[in-house]
Amino acid sequence: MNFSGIFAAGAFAGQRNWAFTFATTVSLVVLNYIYLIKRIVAWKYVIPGVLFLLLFHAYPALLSGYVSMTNHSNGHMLPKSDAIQVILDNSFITDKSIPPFKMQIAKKAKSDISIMVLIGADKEVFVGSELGLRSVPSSNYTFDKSGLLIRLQGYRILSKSEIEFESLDSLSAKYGENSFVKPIDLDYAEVYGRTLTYDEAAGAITEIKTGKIFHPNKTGNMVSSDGTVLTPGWQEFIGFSNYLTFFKDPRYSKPLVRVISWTVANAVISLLLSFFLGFFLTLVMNFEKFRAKRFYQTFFIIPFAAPFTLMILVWKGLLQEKSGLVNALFGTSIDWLGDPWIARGIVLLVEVWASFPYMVLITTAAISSISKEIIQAAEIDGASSRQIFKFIQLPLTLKSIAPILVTSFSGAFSGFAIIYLLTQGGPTFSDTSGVAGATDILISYTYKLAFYGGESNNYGLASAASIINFMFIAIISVSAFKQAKQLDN
Amino acid sequence: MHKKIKFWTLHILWRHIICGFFALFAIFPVFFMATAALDKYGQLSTSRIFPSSLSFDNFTRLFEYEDGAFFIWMRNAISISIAIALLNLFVGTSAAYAISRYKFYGRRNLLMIVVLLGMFPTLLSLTTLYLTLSSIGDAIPAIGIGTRLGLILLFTGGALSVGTWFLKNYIDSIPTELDDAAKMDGAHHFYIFARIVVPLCAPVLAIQTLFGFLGGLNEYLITSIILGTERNVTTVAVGMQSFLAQNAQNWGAFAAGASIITFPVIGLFIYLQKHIAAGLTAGAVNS
Repeated sequence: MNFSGIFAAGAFAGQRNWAFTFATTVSLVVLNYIYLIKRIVAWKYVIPGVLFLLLFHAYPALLSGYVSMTNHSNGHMLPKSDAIQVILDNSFITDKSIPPFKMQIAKKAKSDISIMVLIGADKEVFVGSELGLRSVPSSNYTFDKSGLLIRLQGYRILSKSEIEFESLDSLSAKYGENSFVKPIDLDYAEVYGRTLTYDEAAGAITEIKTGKIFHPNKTGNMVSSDGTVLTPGWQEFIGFSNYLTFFKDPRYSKPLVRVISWTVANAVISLLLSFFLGFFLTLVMNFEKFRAKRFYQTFFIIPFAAPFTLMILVWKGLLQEKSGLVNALFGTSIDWLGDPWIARGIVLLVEVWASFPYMVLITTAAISSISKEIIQAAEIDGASSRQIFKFIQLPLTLKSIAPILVTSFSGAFSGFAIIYLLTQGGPTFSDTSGVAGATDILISYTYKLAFYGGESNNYGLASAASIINFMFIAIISVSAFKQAKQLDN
Repeated sequence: MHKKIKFWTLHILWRHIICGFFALFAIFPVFFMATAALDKYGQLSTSRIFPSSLSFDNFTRLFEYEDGAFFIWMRNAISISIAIALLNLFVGTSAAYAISRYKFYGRRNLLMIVVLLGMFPTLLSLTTLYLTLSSIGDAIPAIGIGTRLGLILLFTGGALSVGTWFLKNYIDSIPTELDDAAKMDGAHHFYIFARIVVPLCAPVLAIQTLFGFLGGLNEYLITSIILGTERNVTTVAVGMQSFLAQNAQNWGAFAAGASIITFPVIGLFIYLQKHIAAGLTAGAVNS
């Protein structure tokens, strides 16, 4: 274990990933400490789980928290130094004031490295290298009649068929302080000049020709005083701006309110419906003379057992407008997933289909754990079956399955698969400009912001949405757990 | 006799009607999936309840897709899911044991953190999870993006969860006298864990492992992001989804594949019905 740990730390160090190198080293020390010291037995059992939890759950969650405070998005993916490098690399353009050179490719004798041989307008010959252009004395070369070089002292000139086209890309020779010569095809090379320079001390970029100066702004771009923006930008810490965007920018605030309302409504309604349906069926079957109980329970377990992701796709097929079975059975031609309210209803229906069997299972377990004596005593006291339900069965069942209901609620709150596979969150709102749709819940909306936006994928904004989602679940669950505990006492 | 019939109509019949209705609701899509799989012109869009003529053409078509890609997906999904289930079983059970039996420093906070983090769905940190795994992969390619091992380790991050808490409650209900007696005899703590506590939890653990296995089999989104649709590594859930995306008209073959996965699981659940209810509610239902 120590060996593999040291190997991992070394590997991370090799990648200059200091955070992970440090984390691996610390974990290694902690693990050694725990497993070699006798007194902390408990941690020997807990630590593997904790380490995995930290790496694949806590760290990404915290990282999302950080990303939600940056402008990480398309156009702002790189760290600042890399972004500036890209801006400078992109700033090379052909210098039209210098005519292109005629070019031939040669190899140094006994070497396999290709170099450019450049022929100027006045038939002067140069050998190009990273250091610059070296002029060749006229005694060292010979031209043929068509003006092609056929001899160059110390070099072997390649015929066109010998030139590997891919190798041309890597050829470049220094020309001036801010310019290079690069091949444009098999015959010619041009001078490329840098149009921008970066002054590291001032942290500013200057346009060489005009002297225009670009300064970094707060949102991760280089901007000049007249408002010209250089791309790409870089990642910048922008505090709570992403969160404010959701509340202030009508492009996001308008759909967000609807998405949150539907998220909450969807979770509450589907949980209540499936709980009451499950409980209702349990009560219906909970009758001694009803011998078919096991038979029906077998049916009710089926949606619970069937792989959910596949079953959603089956439901989607059943509900197709033109060729779906549902429309054929009822002789209707309803676009089940195309109308906002019908689509919402369908989402609820499929959710209830998938989750009521679970409720049947747990309410059956809960109700059979209520002792027979209590119910018999109540019956002797003359309680009606409705009273028994209201004062004994319902409260006792609720009490005992409260923790499960809370967990199911947070599950329903982030039930991504059904939305993603059934409706993709659609139909999309027609009166807002964003990606949000009528059946989008927070988590699917988040996913769209991060991955559906095409050009405008915005990871910072998506992370902010996921933090908002987390806050909702956490607040609701914690208060629900507290209530459940009060029930206990 | 007359009395019996009267009793039956009054107390039993309506129960059959209600249960029957919802039983039909429950099996409706599953039944239809099977029909579409067996129908000769089998397409989910043929909109017939009963197949026009039975045939296994859909299965043949599925098996021939990309030289038996279906079997490779199945093999991947099963091996990955077994690994996830066993790792989670080991990591989760040992943690639940320690939290139940030892009053160590940080115990309450650990539970709080586990439950709170559980509310932060892995899905929400999909981007950062991807970044984490890819930076690990830069250093150790064997567990990076696109590797099955990486995916397995990633899912082990969920080993400590609300489930651990339920399991801890269950272990709480095992009397400590057994541990104490073993301790008197000089048993090592690992012996107590492996020979006393684990066997007593065995039915619950078996069910939890089954659910862990099925969770891995079912998981779609994270698997698709980490493994992609590359034929040799990906799982059947992702493979079938991409199959359907590429062959939209080929519902029949899709239904055939879905049936192959679904029916054994349903059979297993019906066979284990009693234990499943017990395993689900152990430690969660306060009795």
